[in-house]
Amino acid sequence: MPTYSTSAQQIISAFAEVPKSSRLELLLEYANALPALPDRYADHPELLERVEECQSPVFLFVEVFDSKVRIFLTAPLESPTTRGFASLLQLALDGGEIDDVAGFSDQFINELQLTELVSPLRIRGMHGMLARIKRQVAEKTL
Amino acid sequence: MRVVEIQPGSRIVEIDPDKSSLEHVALWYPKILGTRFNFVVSATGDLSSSSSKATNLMDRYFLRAIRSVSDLIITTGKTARSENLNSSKFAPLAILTNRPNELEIAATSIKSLNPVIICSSIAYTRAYKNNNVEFLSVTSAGISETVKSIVSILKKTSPLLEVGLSTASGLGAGNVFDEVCLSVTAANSREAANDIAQEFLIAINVRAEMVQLLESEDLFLFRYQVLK
Repeated sequence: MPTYSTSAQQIISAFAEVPKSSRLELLLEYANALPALPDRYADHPELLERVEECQSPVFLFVEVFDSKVRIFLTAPLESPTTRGFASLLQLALDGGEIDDVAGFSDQFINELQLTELVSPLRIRGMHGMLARIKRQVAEKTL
Repeated sequence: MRVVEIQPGSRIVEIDPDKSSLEHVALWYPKILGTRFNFVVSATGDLSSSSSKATNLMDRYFLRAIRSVSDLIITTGKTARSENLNSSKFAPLAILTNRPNELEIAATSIKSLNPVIICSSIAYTRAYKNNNVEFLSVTSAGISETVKSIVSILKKTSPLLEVGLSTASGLGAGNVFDEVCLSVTAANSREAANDIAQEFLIAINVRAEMVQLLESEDLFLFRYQVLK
């Protein structure tokens, strides 16, 4: 059984506590919570990596500083579930220790119990976001 | 350029977006007795506030086709300003705004064939260069009720809404749309375009059934009938 950060565990609990019929609504609430990119990335989109696994245009950047990881993600308002996934990963991982983010279990995505509610394409997109976050962390901690 | 009908049939039509008559696509975009909403989404992540980069010649051609079967085009001051909208030769343009005296755009500046109707609950106190600008006083009710009242007052039956995402979200929740026309540009596959379209329907609070899908290179044109 994977262990999660407090914020990741809170997200899992939040989805577990609502009935299946309300999970998508909860995801859309998270979509509204995705923070805007800071100016240093908003003004320089070329610094961001596109998450090719997502059909909608999702971009990310990872900063590693002082053993902590900062996660920056952007997803369009027109794609609320994808944006919701980005928001969940940002909340779960931002500010985490390098080792915790690098070893963050993909099982987290299944624990949200959303696979019956959103298309496999979008689930694949979330896996893509997580994989790219971990890859950037690995590259920046060599 | 070739336009392929993927659903419901399999017609193929060659169109030159600069030269072809709109009649070439009249069967795909018939006049409806109801409210259409048209929007463009880019699959490339162009985050520009204007839709100009997200569209291409073919998409603009289809927008003209959709406008040509509408009897009123409704937009907001925000969209009109960001797009510097011009009037349309096909139908009057109604602009819903709470800043009726600060609408310096092509539609209010250039003489037009059809009226440009500024709709606001704020008093209109100035004249624009285009002497075909009219003013319609509306109540400051919610956006959905206001749009419905504009259509009713102007006695229109086939309005077209061209508004931004946040306004569309409110109008979708307010059950204003009967049909949604969505263009997905720069999509690398039908599967990708379809996923983006499904997401878009969630974003505008609409449950809808796809009644038509056209493809032209990397442009995908969806038509959805809204389920009420």
